[in-house]
Amino acid sequence: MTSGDRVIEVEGLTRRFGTFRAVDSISFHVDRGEVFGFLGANGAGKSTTIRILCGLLAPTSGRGHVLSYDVATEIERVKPHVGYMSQKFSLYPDLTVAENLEFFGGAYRVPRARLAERIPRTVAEAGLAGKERLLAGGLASGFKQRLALGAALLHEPELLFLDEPTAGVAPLARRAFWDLIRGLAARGTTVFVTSHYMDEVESCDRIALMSRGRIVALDTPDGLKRDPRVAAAGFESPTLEDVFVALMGPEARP
Amino acid sequence: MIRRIALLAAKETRHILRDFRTVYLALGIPLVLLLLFGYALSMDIDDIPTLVVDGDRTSASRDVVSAFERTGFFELVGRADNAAAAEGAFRSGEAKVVIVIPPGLGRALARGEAARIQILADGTDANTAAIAVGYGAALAQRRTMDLTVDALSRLGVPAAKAPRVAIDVRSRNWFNPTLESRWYMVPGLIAVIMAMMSALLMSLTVAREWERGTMEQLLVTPVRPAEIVIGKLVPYFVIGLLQLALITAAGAALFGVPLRGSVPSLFAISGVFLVGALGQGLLVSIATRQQQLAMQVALLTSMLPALLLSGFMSPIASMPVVVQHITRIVPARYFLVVLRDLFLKGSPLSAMWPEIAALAIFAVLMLVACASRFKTRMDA
Repeated sequence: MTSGDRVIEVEGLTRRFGTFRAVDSISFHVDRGEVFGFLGANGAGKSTTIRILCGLLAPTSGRGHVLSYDVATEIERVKPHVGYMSQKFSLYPDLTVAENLEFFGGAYRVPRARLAERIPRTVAEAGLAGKERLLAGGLASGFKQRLALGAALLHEPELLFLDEPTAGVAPLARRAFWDLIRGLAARGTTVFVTSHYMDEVESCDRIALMSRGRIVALDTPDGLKRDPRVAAAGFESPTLEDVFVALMGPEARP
Repeated sequence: MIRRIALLAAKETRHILRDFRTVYLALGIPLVLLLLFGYALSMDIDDIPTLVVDGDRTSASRDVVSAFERTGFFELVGRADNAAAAEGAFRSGEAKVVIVIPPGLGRALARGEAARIQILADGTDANTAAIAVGYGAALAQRRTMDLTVDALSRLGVPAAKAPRVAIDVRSRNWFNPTLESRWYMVPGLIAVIMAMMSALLMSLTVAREWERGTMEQLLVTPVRPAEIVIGKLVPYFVIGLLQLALITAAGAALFGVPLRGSVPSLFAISGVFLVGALGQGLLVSIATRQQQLAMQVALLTSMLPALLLSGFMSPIASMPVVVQHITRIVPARYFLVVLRDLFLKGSPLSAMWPEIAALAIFAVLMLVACASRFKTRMDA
């Protein structure tokens, strides 16, 4: 790691699928304890970036380091310290709530005794008390999402990747979910989250705006609003939505 | 390592038990195949429908006909006046064999001259035809000998002293005295069923995780490919042994197939075969990532060789030389030999080490291929 506080460090990271550049030479870093937001339309390259950083996809070129390990060659050393919640519910639908948690806890090598403490707490935090023996596939989408988050946190990762965690979730539940994310960050977990809801990324420490595989702007929410390009576009006291329109044009709006 | 393999195996077992179709498939198909092959594909032939054209109508010709009937292989379904009726009988399916006795048979025999009979068989059913003609020829030979003795006795040689100048073949079939085709069919069927079912069930497992999206969540965890491979194999290994027990028991109960070798030997060698067969299915699943495709590839690559190239349907020695060489890479071929020896001869495993070695090599190759082909990235 170049600096003890850099949890993610990315330089010129590129991923091509055939001739299509899903991620096109992006560079950024994420500091310990930050809530870092990736905002962009579908297909902007947000999921591809997360998948590269989790080891699910290999980068085509450029460098990516997570917890000081190279994601291209040392990803197995990264995995024990990272949690990942994919866009689509991907726990086992035919296993119960408790079985899913036991499985993923074991897969992350959480010691048995520790797991025995963690599972009831996770169940309670996800609001699933009394539902431990229900099949995960039968839960309502809000509960599925809370369960998936719980499964990703069983091993108490230093870094949590959330890919569109609130897609398809009711507004009230979305708000509750972001409270959870902020709570995690307050306890020292670094959170890397993608979204295409502008209102919710407002509470990130820093935001990268992504369009067509590139990072168009990267700053704190306030910093983005003060971007001269936004004022030049004629916005006074702009919202994040205005920033988006000013920097990327209305067609790139998420 | 052990903990995570146990964890993966437990998870896989739950998938199986909660999708009951898998259980039906795993235990139902072997039984259906056993019944189908056991009853429908029996190679034993008796009561072949037979039409008689007796142009002679003497006591000698009636003797010939009743000799055919007494064998039990031929069943008299009718009589006709001339051989032209044969075609109609074959076309209508009324008869598979026509015995034609031309006029003059009785007279010729009485004079001590050579007599002729003709056996016509419906060649569309080549197997039955060949067996019927064979039986007919053997029967004629036996009659010839009896007639020779009769002829000599008429010349004054007492029957007891008449020379039997034919080579009298007395054959005995060891291990399967009545040549029950089911006795060698059932052990062979075990090889076919286990090869097919293992590959089929196993081929769905990894592909299903890719299709459902659960593979993504599994791959971000620190589990290793070898742990996934072994964890997935274990429950299907148990299913395979259950299938073995089921077919062996059903084969004994329904068809009286004896198991003369030891039960532990049977399970031990079948276990070695199973690992290879399961590994083959898993490899297909890992390579295709799609259930439909995986299932088709797995069925084709397991069932066809096991049925056609293992010696199950026809002996390997009767195949073209090129094909004989190809059979060397078909594990079912070795398993089949071992099974028939175990069931019918009761041979000890020590007598089959070349086959066991071949099966073990295949199993190890498959495991290594699975673990090395298993990618922990989504990129194919």
